[in-house]
Amino acid sequence: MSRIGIVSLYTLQEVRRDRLFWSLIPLMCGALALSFFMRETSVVAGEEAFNRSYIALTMLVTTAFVMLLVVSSVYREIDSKAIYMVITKPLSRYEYVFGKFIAFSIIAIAITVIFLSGALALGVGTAKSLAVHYSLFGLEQMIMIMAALTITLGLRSLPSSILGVAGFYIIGHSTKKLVDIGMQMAQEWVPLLKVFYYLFPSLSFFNAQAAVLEKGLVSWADILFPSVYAGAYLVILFLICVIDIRKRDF
Amino acid sequence: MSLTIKRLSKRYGTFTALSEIDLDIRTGESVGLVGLNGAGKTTLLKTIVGLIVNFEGEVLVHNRAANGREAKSHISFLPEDFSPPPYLTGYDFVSYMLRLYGRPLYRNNVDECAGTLELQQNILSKPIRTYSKGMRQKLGLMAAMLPDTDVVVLDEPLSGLDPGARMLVKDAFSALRTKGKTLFFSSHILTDLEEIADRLVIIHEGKKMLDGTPEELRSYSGRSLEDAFLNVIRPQRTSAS
Repeated sequence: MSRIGIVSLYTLQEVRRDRLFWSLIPLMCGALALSFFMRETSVVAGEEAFNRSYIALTMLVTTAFVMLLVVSSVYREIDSKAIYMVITKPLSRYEYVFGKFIAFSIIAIAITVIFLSGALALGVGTAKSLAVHYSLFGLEQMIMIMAALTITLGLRSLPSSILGVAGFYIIGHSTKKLVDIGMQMAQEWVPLLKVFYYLFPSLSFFNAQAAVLEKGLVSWADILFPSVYAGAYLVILFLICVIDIRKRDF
Repeated sequence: MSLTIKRLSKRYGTFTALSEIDLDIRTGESVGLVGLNGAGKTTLLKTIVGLIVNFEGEVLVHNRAANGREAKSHISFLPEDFSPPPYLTGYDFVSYMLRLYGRPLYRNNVDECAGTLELQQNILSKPIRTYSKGMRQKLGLMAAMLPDTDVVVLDEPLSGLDPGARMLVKDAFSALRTKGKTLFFSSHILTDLEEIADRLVIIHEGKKMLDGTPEELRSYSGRSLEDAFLNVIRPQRTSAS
């Protein structure tokens, strides 16, 4: 097995025994229970309220859980100096980063698949629209994982890393909306907003929620552009992370 | 030479952590690094194992740049106050470290090494978070010794160990020396160093103050090694007395 695979394997081994990992089960149950609660108490169509809540809550739970897992696990390794034992071995620092990325991506994809299966079983939308939506969400998770690794290895502080990752997520979901608002209400701000739009990753691309809820038409081609976009951003974030970690003293 | 350090300097802003350090360590030598807190011991050891990459000078392991893959395959390291990943078991952790060197895990070797350090075999199957500080230190020592590298670098390897465990670790070091391994380690306890080290290197405020045998250090004072050490780092002390 390659050294990247070894780092991934033991990261997965550690994470699955971590108490934080098992908090996923109550979180999943909570998301499901809250969706049912919304259906029963909603003043509008109950099914629509359920579908909307299920999609929103599963995305929120997955993102929050995976980001906490990445930040806490990597920070713990830095704080306990366990990272010293790993990166002084004959492996490059980029292999360490890539190994961690693969391990956390496997976890994020597994959770996404579980939530997709739940959505299919509960009839939240058509099979195709749900598959497209959760595939896009999986891509967003991979960008967020690489961002969380870059931020945590760069800042090496737990509160700053959590704030940094949360900031990245909020900005990522705001840029497109800000440009849209600017277009309608303040045209003079649009050039500045577009700078932000192109500078930061726009995570709004990774969402087909509207197509799922409105039972609109979706095709697998809808994944093509976001996949290329996600690939490009993953490469950029990986390079930033590797350049930073290679030049850093531990 | 196992380790060659030429004119090594490391600065953090305006603070000089290491200043023009020159050091050669031959294959099979056991060298102890002594200094007060903040003298630059850990910085020097971190530079040798490739954790510090921004420095002036040259650090070579078997004539290869210290932070390269080739050099790293010859060296194993135990950091000070280190704690292995808490949710892995002892076996998992040792296996992880060995596999990063491309070496397989032989349970017999692990159990033998654990026996040498009086670490019970059944504890190795338990998560590391249940270990005491001494047990974690012993596990770290196992992870540093088992890959069978030519050079073993240890930062305060005896800290956190009770007198009995210190004795066992010193015996384990003697066994490594017998095998022809090169040992470079730091410690505050001079009597321990005298037992294990062929040579002592004293650094103070980032500068190398003495490089010699324990007997040579003793010549700086007729009393104890501690007294001699203080006379080396504070020469005015000698002239005053």
